[in-house]
This record gives sequence, structure tokens and C-alpha cells, in this order.
Amino acid sequence: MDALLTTLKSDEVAMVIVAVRFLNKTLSAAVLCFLVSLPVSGWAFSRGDETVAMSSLLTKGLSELIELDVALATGTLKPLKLAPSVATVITAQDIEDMGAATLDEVLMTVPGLHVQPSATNIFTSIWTIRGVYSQLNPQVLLLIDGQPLRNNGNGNKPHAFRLPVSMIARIEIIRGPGSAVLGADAFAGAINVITKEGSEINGSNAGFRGGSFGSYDVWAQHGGSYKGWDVALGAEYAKADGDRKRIIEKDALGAGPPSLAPGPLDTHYENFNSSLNATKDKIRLNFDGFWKIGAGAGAGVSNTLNGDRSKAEGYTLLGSVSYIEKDLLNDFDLTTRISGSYNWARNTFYFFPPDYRNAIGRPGAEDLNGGIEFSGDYRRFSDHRVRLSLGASNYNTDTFQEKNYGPGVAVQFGPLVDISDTPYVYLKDQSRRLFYSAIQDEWAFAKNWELTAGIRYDDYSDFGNAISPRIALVWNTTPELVTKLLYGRAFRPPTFGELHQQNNPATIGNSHLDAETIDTYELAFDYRPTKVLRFGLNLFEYRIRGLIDYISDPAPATTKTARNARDQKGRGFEVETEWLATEKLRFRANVSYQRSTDELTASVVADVPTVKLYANAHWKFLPEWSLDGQYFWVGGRHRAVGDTRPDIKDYDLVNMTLRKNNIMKHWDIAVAVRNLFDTDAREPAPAVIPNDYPLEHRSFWAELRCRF
Amino acid sequence: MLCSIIFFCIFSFVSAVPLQRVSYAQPPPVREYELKAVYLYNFLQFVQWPETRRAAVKDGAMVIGIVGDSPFGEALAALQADVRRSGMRPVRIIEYGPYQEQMDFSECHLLFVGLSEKGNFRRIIARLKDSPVLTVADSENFVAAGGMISLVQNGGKIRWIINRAAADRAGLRFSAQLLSIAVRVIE
Repeated sequence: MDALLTTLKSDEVAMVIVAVRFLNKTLSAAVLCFLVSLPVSGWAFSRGDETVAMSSLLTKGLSELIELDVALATGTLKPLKLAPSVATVITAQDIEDMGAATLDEVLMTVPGLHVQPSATNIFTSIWTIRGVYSQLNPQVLLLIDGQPLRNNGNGNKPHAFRLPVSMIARIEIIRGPGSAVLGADAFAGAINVITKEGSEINGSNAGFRGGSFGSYDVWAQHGGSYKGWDVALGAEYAKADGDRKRIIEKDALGAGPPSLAPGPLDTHYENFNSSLNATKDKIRLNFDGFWKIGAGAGAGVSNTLNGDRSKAEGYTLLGSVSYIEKDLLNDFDLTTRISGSYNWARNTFYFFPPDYRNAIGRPGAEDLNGGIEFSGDYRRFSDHRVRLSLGASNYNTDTFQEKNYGPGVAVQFGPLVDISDTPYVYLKDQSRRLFYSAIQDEWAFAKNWELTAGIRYDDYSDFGNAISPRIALVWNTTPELVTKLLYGRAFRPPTFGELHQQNNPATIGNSHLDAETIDTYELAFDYRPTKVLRFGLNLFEYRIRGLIDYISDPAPATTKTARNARDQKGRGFEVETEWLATEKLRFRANVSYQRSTDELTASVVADVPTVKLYANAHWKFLPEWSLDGQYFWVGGRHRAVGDTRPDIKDYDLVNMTLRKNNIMKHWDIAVAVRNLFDTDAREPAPAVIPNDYPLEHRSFWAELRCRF
Repeated sequence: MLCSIIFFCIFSFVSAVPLQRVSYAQPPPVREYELKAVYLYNFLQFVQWPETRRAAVKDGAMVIGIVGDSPFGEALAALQADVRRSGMRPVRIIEYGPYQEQMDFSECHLLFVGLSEKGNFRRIIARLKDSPVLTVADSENFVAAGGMISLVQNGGKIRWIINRAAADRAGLRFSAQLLSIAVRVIE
């Protein structure tokens, strides 16, 4: 641990240097520093007790009392500051305050997490956490109501995934390893989206949002109680043409004919999402549907503009039933959860412009997964809380493919030929079984100290097994300060694609792959000197072994084969603060710094921000009115070794949202501007697109909501 | 640069709003057993006892009995003090400790049965023999065993299940509000 602290000091020096450059660069940073360093004296606050006084409860009516959130004395729910991990929780209210329309927009505000488009994966967002970066991004686990949402083929969330926020009750983001509890892929982090319950919606509401780039969203929700069932229903339809001014000057074919560059990225989308939750007594049902009617492929799968003909389609259905039996035996609660998911995806790729070579590929896959999990909580001993889990899952993938080039196709570049279930398909049908068991003990071994220790064993039928331990020491140092020391190991199993991909002119699977593993150490502080001020500081260091990468085969082969080729290490910190300046004014800010390097070459991981800053002010300037400002600064993105372009330009963005609730009795209205100053912000692209991918230009939207 | 300056201006402007003594805009969570203690007090207000039972009250105080290990900590004492301070109807607390066969709960308006007596739910209910005592516990199994109210967790909030049949037998009447907010009512 000493080593970790010492090494971090040198990073802090680096951070100071970065920060000084940064201060010269923008005045806004000074504003942030001003906020962070504000003297905390001068306001009288009562200390310590963070819960509501009892006398105030006595004055409330029953209907008010039942709406209060409870810091549960038992149960795995804990106040966030005591959670045995570094986590961020964002509520529906936070999302409304910031005016975010999608999950991506919410995640951009999380320290240590950066959202950027993938250069090879149909422009799907990559969620980079603490410098763990890959084009397919399977190292971040996305859960919807606790159930993974991912393609079996590449372990990633669905292609061109776009999740609107209307049905989101809250989002829990764990940075750092989560495999000891969540299993595979909770590697760099995990994002759990929890949808609304009937009692949270409580009635019906509908909304419409329309804005720039031909975008509009329509949604409706209903929540209520029927024959003892608490039921929530929601649906949202979203469509947009995308910003047609996101011009790339050059693509893989250069600029000018035959290339379509300079030309716009294709970022259109059309989605329909729906959700149904029902709870009664011991039973809980969750169903979520994600239908991607169509989505553009950005610059195209080969980074060649193709006249907007490429597109991604798909739908995913998630369903689960949980049954909770409290006190099954003395002091033993058992939760049984049966879950299933169905995923159908098909991408149509036109590799080149219409007048060039007519190469078309249309790969697809159908996934059918099912699982059962038993988890039991045993709380016989007053200072121990033991949780045991046992589960099994089955994953099946049927692939299909049409294409008009390569082996198995009679007329090259002619009509599409169905090569599904032939030796020429990109991936044969696959299946795997998983059995796992986990145990965790939360041990309050002394006053103000708690030790959480857990281990999980995952056994896969195809590639092998993984053991994921974690240990967390949480110390209530003083009533104002919580200190946490955390260690965890996480893993990511090789995907079907990495194991078995074939017939690809560039990349080939390897059935001898092992899982990627990451060991992470964290030291975290949560300091709340007053009721209105909070600081968080997280220091981390991690080491990844066996990152899977495609490595060139010996000549004369021109292919690359998947191998556990790379090791990576990284360290950094995140500083967070929240200050409730007055009842009407709230500030939030965070700064993240990371430095990750490839162990073999000692080169810095390219394309990811070294420093990221977020500042937010939310001001309720009149009753029912609010104005929200967001400021983002992203910087320190280096090029890959051998890429001679100058480093990617830093950028900053400003968003504003103005909201008026109860404009008439049941109506709320909001207007917003994104990228207020029309900054030319860019995210990294491969060298064939020399000037990188431009982000959206200034845009506006207006929203109307009605409750009835 | 322009954007930074304008953003700075906005920040400075909003920062200039006079600072006041405040608390979190979103209410902080409530301690589970403080809320439950307040629930018990509310139940006393929303349940009607038979006339005979009401006459038996000496000092006008309502009596809450706890049998088995009390999970309330200091919450009931705080409730008692707060009630007295605010001039509301006083409440008396009797802690019986672990259940024993000869215990007499007839003094209580409300009897809270701790989870340590889980094995004795049926025995305690049988012991009360439909006498007008409102029985409450933390376990869902309690209403199934013939108890009147089970407190349950529901999405981070605390609600209750009511066994109306059991209350009817004891001559207790629930207010419509108590029934309408219940997660479930066993008729």
C-alpha cells in the first residue's frame, strides 16, 4: 500500500503540471477551484446526524411518511458513503435537473468515465473507465434491473445502443472491479440501470421532446396498483436524422472522388423501448424491450463514407422473475431469480461509396440466454452478514450472414448470397454454460469498522474458470469522514468472436484464449464537513493481465489472431465535490486524472483523456423554475505509437437547461441548448480519418410533459 | 475562450445569490426504526378500539408493548419525549423481554413482536385470544400466522400488510386511510 501511495504522489505532481497548463487555458477552471476552496466556516450547521429528526416525522401525514426513503438497518442497501466500493448513484431527479436525454449524457458527468464513439463498432459509444479502453468495450458491464444487456458475440452492449432516460429511476455506477459480486465483465466498472416502479410513477404521464437534427422523442408511462400488484409500464419512441454538419474531411479512400469525403457522419437513429415492472409481496417481474429500428454507422465500418447506406438493426428482450422468501429458515432469506434474454441483431455494411467497389456484408446473430440464481442472506450473528450465491447460465448464439464477396460467393460484388450455416460464415453457432458460486461476509468487527470479504468462482464450459476475490475495509474515521481501502480482482471471459471468429480477412479467433484479469487497489475518502458540503477523493492503481488483442500472424499470412497479448497498468485519482450553497443553488464538480500504460512498450494508452473535468450549477431562481449549467473539459489525449499526428485537441463544452414545472396544473416545460458555444470538439479516429470525429454542433430542444 | 468567460459570468452571477442556512434539497434518508416508531404511533391514531377498551385507559396514555428483542434502540424513548413535548396524546412503552407463557399483554393497545420471537408468533397470537390488542411485527410471516399488521420493505420504503380478518375478530377497526395505503389487505 505504501508503494501505491508513494507512486501516486508522483502522479499528483504530474496532475499539478497538467492543472497549471489547464488553468492557463481556461478561466472556468479557476471558477471550479474557487468553488472547491470556498471556506467552509461562516455557516452554522448541525453536525453528524444525517437523518431526519423524529419530531419532524411526527408532524407528517401517513401518506407523506410512506414516501420517505429509508436507510435500512439490514439489507445490502447501505448509505452510499459506506458502500464497499467506489460508486456513483444518479437519480431520476438528477437526470431531470441536468436535462440529459440519454444514458450516455448522464454517464458523461461521472468522474473517471468518458464517453466516445467507437471507430470500428458502428459508432457505438465506448464507455472508458479509468483508462481501460477498447473499441468493443466489453470491459464495462451494463445491467438493466440487475440483468446483463450484451451481445454474446462480442460481449458489448447492443450496437449503436441509445437508452433514453424516461423510465430510469436511478443509475448505479461502480468504478473498479465488480466480478466478486457480478461476475464476468464487471472489469473496469459496472453500470446498473434501475427502472421505475409503479409507486414512483404513481399515475400517468406523457412527454414530447423535439429539437435540432430532426430529433424527437415521445414517451408515456403509467404506474399504479392493481389487485395488490404494483405495476409500472413505460414506452418511448425516439428518432433523429443526426447532425449532418459532422463532416469528416478525409476517409480511408482520401478526399474527393471516389471518396465521398468531405461528407457527414451518418448518426441517424430510430428506436422504440418499452418496460414493464410488477411487484407483489414476494414476487418481482421485470421485462425490458429495446428495439433498434435503425441506426447509422458513423463513418462506416471500414471508416469509408458510403452514402448512408450502412445500418444497424436489432431488438433485445430481457425478462426476469424474482421470488424473495424472507425468514425461510431462522434468520435466512432466500432470493430465487430466473432470467432470460433474447437478442437479435443484424448489421448491413456497405464498405465503399456507391460508385466504387460494391462490397456488401450483412452479418447477424440471434442470442438466447437463460439463467437461474439462488442467493441467500444469513444474519444469525449480529456482527456478520453472510451472503451465498449459486447460479447457472446458458448462452446460445446462432449466427447468420449474407455477403457478396469472398469465399462462398459465386459472383464477386454481385447479389447478396446467404452463407449462414456454411463453412464460410464469420462465426459458427456457439453455446456455453456457466456455473458459479460466491460467498461474501460483511463483518462489523469493531465499532466504526466493517470488513467485507468475498470470493466468486465462475466455471465456463468452453474456456475455463475464473476466481474473483475482493476485500473492503470501511472505517468511519470520524462522524464526518469515511475512509475505505479496497482490493478486488475482476475478469472478462473471451467472447465467442474472440474464440471462434473465422473467414475474416483481417482478424481470426483463437480457441486457446484465457480470461483477461484486473487487480485493483483503491483508497477512498468521503468527507462531509457540514450538511451542505461533501468531498470525495479516490486513489486507484490497477494492473491488467492478458488483454486480448489481435496480433499479426507470421508472414506470409496477412491475418491477425486474437491473443492474450497485452498487460496494462494504470493509476490515478478522482476528486468530487458537492455544495448546497443555498436552498436554491447547488454546485457539483469532479476532476479525474488517469495515466495508463502498456507494460511491454511503456507507451501511454492512446485516445483516452488523461484529465476530465465536470462542473455543474443548478439554480432554482424562482419557485418552479430552474436553470442548470454543465461544463465539461476533456484533455490530454495522446496518439498511439507510430501515429504521427499531433495529440488530439482538448475541448470544452457547455450545456444549459431551463425548466418550469407546473406551468399549468399538470404541465412541465423545458428548453435546452447543448454545446452552447458551438465548439469544434473532436473524438479520436484512426489515422485514415486524420482530423478525428467531430462531435455534435450546437443544438436545441424543447420538452413538454403532462401528468394526469 | 468566449464560452469560458460567459460560463464564468453565469457562475459568478448565481454564486452571488445570498447564502442562507440550508439543508439538502432532497430529504436525507430516515432511520428505519425511527420511522417505524412513528408508524406505531400513527397506527394508534388510525385504529379504533372497542368502547370497553378505551374506558380502561387510566391516564389517557396509549400503551405500546414490545415482546422479544426490541429493534428500536432509542427510537421509542425519543418518540415518547417528542410526543410529550408537542402536547400530543401521550404514549407509554412496556418492554416485556423474551416471551414467556404467563405474560399478560392486556394492558397494551399495540403489541410489537420482535423478530427474536419468530418461533412464537402463533403462540403469542393464541395467547391474546382475540383480545383488543393491535399486533404488529417486522416479518411478512406475521400476518400469515394470524397477526394484524406486518411492516414490509417496498422499494426502499416501509409499508404494511393488514390482516383485517384478525382485527375484526378482536373488535378493532382500521381507518380507511390505513387500509388504502396498505400494500395488501387480507380480508
